[in-house]
Amino acid sequence: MPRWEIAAVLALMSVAAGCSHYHGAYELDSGLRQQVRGDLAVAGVLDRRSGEESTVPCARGTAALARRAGAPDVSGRLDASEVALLLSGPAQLSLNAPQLAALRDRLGHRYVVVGEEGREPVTHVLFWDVFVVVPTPWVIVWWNFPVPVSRRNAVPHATRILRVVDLGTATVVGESYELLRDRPDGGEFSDGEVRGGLSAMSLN
Amino acid sequence: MRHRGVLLASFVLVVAGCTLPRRAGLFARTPMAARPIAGNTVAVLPPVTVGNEAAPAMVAARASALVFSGDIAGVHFAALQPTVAKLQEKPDIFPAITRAVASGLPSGFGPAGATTKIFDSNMVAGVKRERRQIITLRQITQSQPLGPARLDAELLAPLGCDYALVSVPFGAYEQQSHIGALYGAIPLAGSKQLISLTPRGVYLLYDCKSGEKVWESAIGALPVAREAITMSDRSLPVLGAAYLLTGDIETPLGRLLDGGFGTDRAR
Repeated sequence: MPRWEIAAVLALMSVAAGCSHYHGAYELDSGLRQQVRGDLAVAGVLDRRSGEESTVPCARGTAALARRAGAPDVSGRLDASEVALLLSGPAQLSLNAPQLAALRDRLGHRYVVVGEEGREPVTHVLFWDVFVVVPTPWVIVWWNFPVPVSRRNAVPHATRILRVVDLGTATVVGESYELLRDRPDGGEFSDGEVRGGLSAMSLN
Repeated sequence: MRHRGVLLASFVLVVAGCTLPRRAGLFARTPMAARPIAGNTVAVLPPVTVGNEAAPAMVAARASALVFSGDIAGVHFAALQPTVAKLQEKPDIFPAITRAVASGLPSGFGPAGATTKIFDSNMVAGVKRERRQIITLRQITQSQPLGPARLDAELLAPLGCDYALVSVPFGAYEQQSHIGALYGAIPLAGSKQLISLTPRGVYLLYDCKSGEKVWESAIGALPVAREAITMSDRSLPVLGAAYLLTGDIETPLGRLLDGGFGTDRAR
């Protein structure tokens, strides 16, 4: 095979590497893990793939979460708006601290794990990578010049979120955030994804 | 002999790792240069969450509680917790502010402008640190307006301060599709990757009496190395906001370091 063809193949192999999804984690503090495991309940999973305001309980995801977390399922004692409150931002949680304290008394658990199959807008950028390949007798040299050619804002992607909420302090103490390459209808929880999410938060 | 060599090399590497300076980079688009006059009080509101990810707001809240825990360059910052207590008494205020600011956010902004070194020392706030701290800033003053030009003054009056600082930290993600073309002419392969951009946030300062916006800035962390985003990275926009607002970097940096930021590698 001519050397320039080898060089071209090598160069293009470097383009092919890529991640299919992003998995970010906010781990539980090491001093808190044992305490959380001992006083944890499963509050449920919401299916919000049709939009952020949706509060549809997801029985399949909740069952997977209860199985993998090894914690009692208290989703039947919460209505969807209470689960939605647990999934709201940290500021909303701290502003609703009295309501969360009442929830703690009702459920008898200080920590709850809650999940969401949702959607998130992502910017799409298309690059035209100009590869300049220079084969020499001893070494193959190439340069890659990525040129952005188009940009689309707010393309919806699927997300899978697990969050541990401390009802005592009205704070989020751990989060697993997975952003998928799929469109929103692809982000369902299965046992494997729940296990990965709990592990990312150091809750396994 | 070989073992001794390996041990010595490991020791040198560990020592070098401990003493290497900690480099952090910030970028900012700050179209309004006005700052609160020293002697005034600024209420720091809890960070507004946009999108579904809570981590940016969680870390920003922790960092804000540390950074704005007292006066900086003569500007008095009211602590986060008493402000939360005031907002709890009037539960309609924060959702109204959230609705107002979250609708007018820029879809994307990135680094631009010249780089300046704003801090370089191992003495921070009077304490000698294990590692030298080097902080750089890339800043431009041109930008489209970042948030609403005014908020209803009735929303801000109960805070009992001269100014209110509204922060919107967020994670930004990009799907990059690449078409590899030999010499730019022969497309031969393609790939897609989903990447997380560095942490960023929008900071807005409102006059509590008039409701007018008096200062704003879009601030982000510069990518220093291609590695996982750490808690310390997520705290950088808060540090940038404190610096751009008051002109003092050392006091907020010292508070962050004392609070454990800057030393952890937690994601």
